[in-house]
Amino acid sequence: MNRKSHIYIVCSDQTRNGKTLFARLLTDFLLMQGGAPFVIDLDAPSGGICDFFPENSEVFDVARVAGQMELFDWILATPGRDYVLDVPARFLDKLFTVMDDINFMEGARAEGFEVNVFYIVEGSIKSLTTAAMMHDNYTVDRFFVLHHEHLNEDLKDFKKLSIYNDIIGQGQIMLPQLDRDVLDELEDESFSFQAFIEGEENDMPAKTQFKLASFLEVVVAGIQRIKRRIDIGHVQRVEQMPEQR
Amino acid sequence: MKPTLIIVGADKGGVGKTTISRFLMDYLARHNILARGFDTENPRGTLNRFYPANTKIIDLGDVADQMAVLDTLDSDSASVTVVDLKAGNLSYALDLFDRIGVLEAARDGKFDLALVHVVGPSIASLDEINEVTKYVRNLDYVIARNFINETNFFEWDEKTYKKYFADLNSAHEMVVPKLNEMAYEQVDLAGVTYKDFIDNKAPDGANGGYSFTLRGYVNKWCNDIDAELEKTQLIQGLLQAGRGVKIPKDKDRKKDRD
Repeated sequence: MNRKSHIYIVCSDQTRNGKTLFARLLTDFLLMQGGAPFVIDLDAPSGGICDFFPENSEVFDVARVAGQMELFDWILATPGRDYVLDVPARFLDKLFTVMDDINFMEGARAEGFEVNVFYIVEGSIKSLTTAAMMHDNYTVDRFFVLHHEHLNEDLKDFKKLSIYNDIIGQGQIMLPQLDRDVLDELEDESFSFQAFIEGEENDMPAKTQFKLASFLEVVVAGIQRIKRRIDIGHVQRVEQMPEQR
Repeated sequence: MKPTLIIVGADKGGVGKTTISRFLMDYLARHNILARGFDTENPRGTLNRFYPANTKIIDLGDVADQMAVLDTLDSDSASVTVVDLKAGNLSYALDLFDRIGVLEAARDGKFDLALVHVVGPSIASLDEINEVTKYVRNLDYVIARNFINETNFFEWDEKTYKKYFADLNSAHEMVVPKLNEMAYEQVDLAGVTYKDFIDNKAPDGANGGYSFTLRGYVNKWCNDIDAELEKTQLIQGLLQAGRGVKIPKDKDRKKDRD
């Protein structure tokens, strides 16, 4: 059975809500699973996530047609591996509009890719409706919702809950709150989720380590759950093929 | 079944006449409507570069070339004739066709005639519309407002434009959206039809190796113009008249070549 390759798009309409952090964790998770994901940093020109994966990452500028060609033509020309896209909020519209305009999904499917979106939604009506618009208007293979734990408070509002329920059909992951001391450790370029999870020695205070471990316990379990769903979904699709013929 | 003569022109240069002519040839081919082209950009011929098999370069001032276009409208296997007028030739061509009775013959229903007038954003284009109106009475007149050249606004007075437009009972407007420069240049460099570029085919039928991204942009642009074009009576008439001739599928064409 030919295994599908995956494009994971980590995005949100809001800034500074953990997109890069989640993209890093997802990349490390895939590395721990034996994969060789390539990280695509759309935070041009400076880049952000590239600092954590200098060997397997690159910055692309989707605002320019030349940058779009470099990105999309290159992905389609190098199938057979997974890509993790870290998308800054300011390029959310641009990325999906271009993907739609050039019918990237058709090219991606032809090259054996499946496109999965991880969308970090916040508790405002604006963020929820933008997420719903992305969910409804753009064709991707799967749309997963990431949310911070405090979103539950916002979802007491019936209208917000209703929008939220409409977009979580394919899966959701809760991102627990991280304290400042943990975030400071994570911002260190030498920090690796993989190394931390695999128990490599570090000089992090014990309390900080405990908080980070608690966070990872929840989020990695969520990623595992969703990854299983993706893999099982793939098996089901392949099994359906003979009947379709 | 009546033949159709489509004249594509503008007095101003660089407004995208050949782009529209190429698009029309492409559109007709995609809809199995057999068409031939005449390129008056003598002697170079830009339309001819993209459609060498069914386009001739002519000099509209030459009587023999006028005959080649007009006397064969009925007899040629192509039911649609597209004439791409070179820059500055629109008034001359309309005046010529008026003098030799082409416009009158079309009004009498001998054949269908449509003028696709490509206009750019300058005030000069607005004046051109005023010039042309005296010729196009009771003829199918399509004003193609072209945004292809990076300009996103028209500098003319929209009220005056609407007035000209309202006075012409047979005028239709279509908007030609902008195609990004890189995509535009690449199709031009490739020297193939829009469809072949989208299908990634080189002039010899081999894999063109064109950018997926740019092919996507060209495809979207074509879809957008298709939608605009299909609002015009010109295309509605052609499609409804069932002038489609079965064009061999690509694989059959390749077999023929082999």
